Amino acid sequence: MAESRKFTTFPASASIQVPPRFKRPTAIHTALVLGTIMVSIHAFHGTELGTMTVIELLEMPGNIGRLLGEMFPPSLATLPKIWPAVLQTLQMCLVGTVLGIACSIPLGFFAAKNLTPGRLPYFLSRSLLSLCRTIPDMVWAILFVIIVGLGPLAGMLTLLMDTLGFAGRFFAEAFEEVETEPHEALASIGATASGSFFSVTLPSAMPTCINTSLFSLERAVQSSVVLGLVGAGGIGMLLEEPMTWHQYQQATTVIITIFILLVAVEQASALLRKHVLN
Amino acid sequence: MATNTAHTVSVRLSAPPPPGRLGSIPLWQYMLLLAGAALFLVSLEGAGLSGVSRETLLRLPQQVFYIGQQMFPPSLDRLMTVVTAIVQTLEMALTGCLIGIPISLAVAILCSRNLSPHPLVYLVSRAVVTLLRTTPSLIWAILMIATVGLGPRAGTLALVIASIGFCARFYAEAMEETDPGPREALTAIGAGKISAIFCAVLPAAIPALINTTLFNLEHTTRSSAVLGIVGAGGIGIELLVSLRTFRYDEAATILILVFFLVMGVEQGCAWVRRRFLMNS
Repeated sequence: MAESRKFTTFPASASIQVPPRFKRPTAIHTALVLGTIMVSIHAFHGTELGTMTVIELLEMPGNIGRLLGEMFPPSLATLPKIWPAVLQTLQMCLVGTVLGIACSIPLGFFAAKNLTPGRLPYFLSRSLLSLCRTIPDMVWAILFVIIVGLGPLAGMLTLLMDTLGFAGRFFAEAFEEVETEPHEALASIGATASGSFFSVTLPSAMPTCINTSLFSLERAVQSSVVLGLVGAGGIGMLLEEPMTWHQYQQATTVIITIFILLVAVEQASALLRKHVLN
Repeated sequence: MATNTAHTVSVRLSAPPPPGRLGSIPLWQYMLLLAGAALFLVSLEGAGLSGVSRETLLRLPQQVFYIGQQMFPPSLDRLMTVVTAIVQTLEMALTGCLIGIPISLAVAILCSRNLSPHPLVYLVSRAVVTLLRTTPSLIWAILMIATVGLGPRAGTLALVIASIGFCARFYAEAMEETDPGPREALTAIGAGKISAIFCAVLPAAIPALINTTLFNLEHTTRSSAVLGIVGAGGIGIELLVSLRTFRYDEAATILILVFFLVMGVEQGCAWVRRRFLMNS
């Protein structure tokens, strides 16, 4: 009885230690935070934002207002050129993505740890994939414009490379995640490596692959709209001229079209994904 | 027993044939596949493939090989300029991301379904975020150049805008996914709306917020490497000039550095994720 009363006595709350509101940071954390702050300050100066004068800062809203004034109302003169350009963008994306995915499947095969025939093909395909992924699409576009000339072919090849880097990696991961039993069962009754790839690995990885492909198509549309800025076809081509000559009203028409196109593709892709995967 | 065996055998003999190897697909799927194939074939022309002569296609590997040959050995002539530009690229990405984070947090509160002060505010801020996200950062860079002039300032501002578009959306999703219990408990004992957000919602969403921020840093690094193409600072302009003047050996140096920059940021983010997010 005496013991149970001990717990219910109240003045004890005065001696209860409340845990501190914030944990005391360790030396490493403090050093990390300080380092981050210093790097950020240095970076801020590197971008020349730090040297902005007050006058320049005050002028900014005015500049934005002036720009908006020059951008609106959108020019209707570019409208007849818009539809063919949108069509070309979409066609570029479709062909680039389909060809890219077709190339990604064999590349994914070589880059999957459990399927690859040897260390060298694995290493080579992995390096190729990370090369495709890390080189920005605009750089591919500039390169392909040099190689095949101005026009949608350069853009299509760019999107192919882009898709390869993105889809190839995810295909390889999807192939690696396929369970091994059906594979072993087929191998034990004498199936070849390629036979078991086509009858086990590919069908099991199919849902992931379809999802990845839809994502690549969406990504392709997103990157394709600006490829035209360096001459690689699509709707971006319409943006180059008005931007160079400061015809902002015409640029606005193109930008609005790009916005509508991208939102539509995003929505369509989300809808399609919901239907295909359920 | 004998009749039993006979019975089994007869069943075996009359068993239905094994199912088809590939299974038949319904008519509408078949039509859809055909339509897709037709669309692809039609698109070949729009993608510039049908007008291409065979010589051009055959020359392609040859030219790729030629450029590859020209790229080696990478030139170190303007190494200092290039390294300065690479550092600037990273600085633009970092600053754009850092300035974008607090703005994104504020915008995300406005456009998350459970925290938004008013449905109208929710709709408007959602639309603005969609506009910021879907318009490519290169276009923002061009518009920013028209506002603050050529140079890294324009690029950084473009990256700030791109960061808001990306972060605000996923921050809002993270905040919507938090458990409403703690926030309601705080409100019940008289906490204000803002205090409830800072003490209940944000701490719960922190892992997702950090993850989004890291993804955003990877994004901004990639985009800041090309913003220079339109004159918004960073390595892009060096790359464009060396490619347009056919100095492939210089371009190779730049590409290698860009490769290391993007890979470095990716690995760094992966390290932070492993170190700080895995155990929570």
